[in-house]
Amino acid sequence: MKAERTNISERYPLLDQFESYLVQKYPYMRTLIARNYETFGDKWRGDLENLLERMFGNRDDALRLAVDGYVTFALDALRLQKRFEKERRYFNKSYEEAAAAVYHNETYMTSLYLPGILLSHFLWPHHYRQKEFCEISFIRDIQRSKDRTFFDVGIGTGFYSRLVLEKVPDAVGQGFDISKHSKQYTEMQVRSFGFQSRYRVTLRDVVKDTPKEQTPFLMSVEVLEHLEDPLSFLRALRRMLKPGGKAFITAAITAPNEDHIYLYNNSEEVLEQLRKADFKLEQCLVAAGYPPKNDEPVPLIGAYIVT
Amino acid sequence: MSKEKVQSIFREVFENDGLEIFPEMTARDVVKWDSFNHINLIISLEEAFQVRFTTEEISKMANVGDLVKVLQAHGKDVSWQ
Repeated sequence: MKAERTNISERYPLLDQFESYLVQKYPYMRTLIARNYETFGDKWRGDLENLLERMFGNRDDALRLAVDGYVTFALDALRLQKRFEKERRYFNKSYEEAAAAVYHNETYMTSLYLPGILLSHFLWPHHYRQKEFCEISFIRDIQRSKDRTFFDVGIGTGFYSRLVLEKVPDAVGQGFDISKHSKQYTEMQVRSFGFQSRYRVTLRDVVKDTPKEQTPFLMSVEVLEHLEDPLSFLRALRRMLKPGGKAFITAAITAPNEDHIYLYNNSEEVLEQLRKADFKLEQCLVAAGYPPKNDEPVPLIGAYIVT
Repeated sequence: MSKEKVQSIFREVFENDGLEIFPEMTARDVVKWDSFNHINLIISLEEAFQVRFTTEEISKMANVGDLVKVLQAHGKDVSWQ
């Protein structure tokens, strides 16, 4: 057992350090890493080690801050989920209010929201399943394509842009967002992997100011639920996609957060909007954060490959 | 207030009607006390006692005794009698 532990520490030093911080400060989180590893296996461990090494290697304080950010983020999300179970609605917030409270709030974005989301891609099972689905069903098509340019609209932490740049070594991408903190965080992530020459971020609201150029591959990951009018946004994405192009679009369903203002009650509601925006469904994945105990709503992601 | 209210929340969260809590009790002593159910426990306690714990306070809750101390620090009358 001890030898096995030493082996893991040597092979995954950052993950080991991450787990030590987590368990030291939040002892009740001790099963988090093991549970995900049991579910997803060695690839999960390797993927997370890679991210931690690039983003936090040699930056002990940043790793500790990310641990704190993740725990607070996860706790807040579950608090809101419990409230949602009773009220079945999101906060009555406008887009402008959510933007001021979250996207333009530097402290909240950099110390809690962005590290929290970044780590949730590995620590929340439905987020990791979404990433795997993207790799298998979308990124492989970019690898096979002659034109390997892509757009990422609503970049968040830059996780998905970085993933494409990593998996497709000659891909060239452009990210769009309205938050300068997302831009900075994404640029840091892309730079830490050495992909900065193949990627740029533009601060732009693509609904108000849709780019004229089109792309063969487009991603927009968990953006729709942040908008008052997601259909107009989807129509803008449609205009940005070349004829014959392919998009990876996802949405959070029955999953409240500080900045989620548009409630999707089920996957069909997302699909209906995709159809109205003239997208055609090729594949989809719906995954839950955890199984319901009874019939309460649980956080879901819906991920859609559309043309 | 006795430990009964805290105990009833433990029993509900961990789905064990016979669960008896004690100050030194940790997650290792309770089946189903994992990271997910710990957060459920925290949220249930917050609702029942009308408090909001900080992340720092939650980090100090290594056992049930610590958890009760945090409730007491919030002015809640919880004792082991």
